[in-house]
Amino acid sequence: MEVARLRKVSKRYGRREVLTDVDLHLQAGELLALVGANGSGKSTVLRLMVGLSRPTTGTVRRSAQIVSYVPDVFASHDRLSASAYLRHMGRIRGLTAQAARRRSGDLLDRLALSGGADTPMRKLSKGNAQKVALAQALLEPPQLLVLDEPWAGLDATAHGTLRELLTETAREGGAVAFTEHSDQTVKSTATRVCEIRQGRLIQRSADESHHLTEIELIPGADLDWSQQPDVIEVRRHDAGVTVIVPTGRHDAVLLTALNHGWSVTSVQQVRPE
Amino acid sequence: MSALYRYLLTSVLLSQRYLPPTLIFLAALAVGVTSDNSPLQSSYAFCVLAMLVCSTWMAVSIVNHEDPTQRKITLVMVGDSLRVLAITVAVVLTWSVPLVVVGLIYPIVTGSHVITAGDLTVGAVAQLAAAMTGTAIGLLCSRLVIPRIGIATLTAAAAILAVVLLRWVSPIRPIMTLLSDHHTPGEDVVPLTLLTALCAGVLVLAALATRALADRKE
Repeated sequence: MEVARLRKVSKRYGRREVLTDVDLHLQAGELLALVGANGSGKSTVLRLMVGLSRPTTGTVRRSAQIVSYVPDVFASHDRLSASAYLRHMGRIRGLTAQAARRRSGDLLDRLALSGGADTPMRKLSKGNAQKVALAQALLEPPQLLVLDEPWAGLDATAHGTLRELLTETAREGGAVAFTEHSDQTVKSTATRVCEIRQGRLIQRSADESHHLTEIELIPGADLDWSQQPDVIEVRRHDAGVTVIVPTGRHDAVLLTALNHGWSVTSVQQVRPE
Repeated sequence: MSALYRYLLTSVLLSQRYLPPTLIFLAALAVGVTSDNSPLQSSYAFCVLAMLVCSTWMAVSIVNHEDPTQRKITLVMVGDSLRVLAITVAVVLTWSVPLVVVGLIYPIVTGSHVITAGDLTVGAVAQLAAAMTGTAIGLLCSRLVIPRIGIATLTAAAAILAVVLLRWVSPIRPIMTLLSDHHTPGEDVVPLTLLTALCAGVLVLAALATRALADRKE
């Protein structure tokens, strides 16, 4: 299902044309990475996608009802605590106070907010503020999740958690679009990569963007990998099982394996044949 | 959308940004109407002037209080910038209500006046009209329209002077004249109602213009 589409979109700030004839669509379950140099127009595409900005020419269509946005810098001067802030955001989303409290608690636990959930927002470090910004975006499972450099300022542990959260969002049918400078992060997370160069969008070829991940596993509890979502191929051999999954889904597959008592012996990215 | 209203109200309460305009309002009343023995409506004319200035300040403070990045998050969450702005205006007007109450009671407590229910009603409506006009000026001088605070302050000061000094620029000057002319409350009802409705219209127009200008920037 198409969640968002930009058709022939151009964006001009004064005399400067930031984007030219951008055609982009985003499907449910997709993890789209937008890459490009600083000032190339990546953030503008994201803002257009969520409706924060209007195109100078062209059209933007969105079918998603629940849209979440994580800005590149989130520095709140609020005296509210992180947990109170998230409760308010949850209520604005339409959650009950109890559901908002439970969900925000779960997310802050997963993201390991240091200093505790009762820390006032204005006293949070950049990384911790970023964690709260991520949590507000995930309070209700979004149909369209847009993140502007979400890994910036996060610690190593939170890097992995964020990848898991994005993958889970896509698995639940949400479309995810993000900008990122780290090639490694893009390769390990995105299912599709688009580059913006001099205001024009360039689709990376399938060979460049559709990486696969090969996971070697030693069996644990009974689990039919061929029935698991995202698994492209299963190879059985004497030492165990090898499963091939699209890069970006591998975290979820690893989690499933570990939860079922399977042991992971190797994980490596492979090029599709 | 009561959740957004509660969030903004709580956030403003904790920020204490309402304190400077509130204190200036109290100081203005202390200077302007303490021990005033003129008719009560004349005292309320001064309260209207003080309310205009302080509600402008209050509106700018409250609208500028929300961090620009948080505003983007809120806009995406709610999905309609006019709805977000309408709720922000509701929060500003909510903070103006205690000022209206103080503005009604202070002249009575500190001065010597003949008090009638009609005078109190006229005073309350007139100050509410001033709060709406001040909010309208504040919206147009907020960061949403004028990003530089120095230019915004000068523009707000010029707008307030124009509103107070020029007779038909806004309904404020006619309201102040009406209160100073020693009419009975009964005589004031029709013109004051019309002028207050005009103030509400000015506020609606200012909100629409603010929304259009803020959206255009993006």
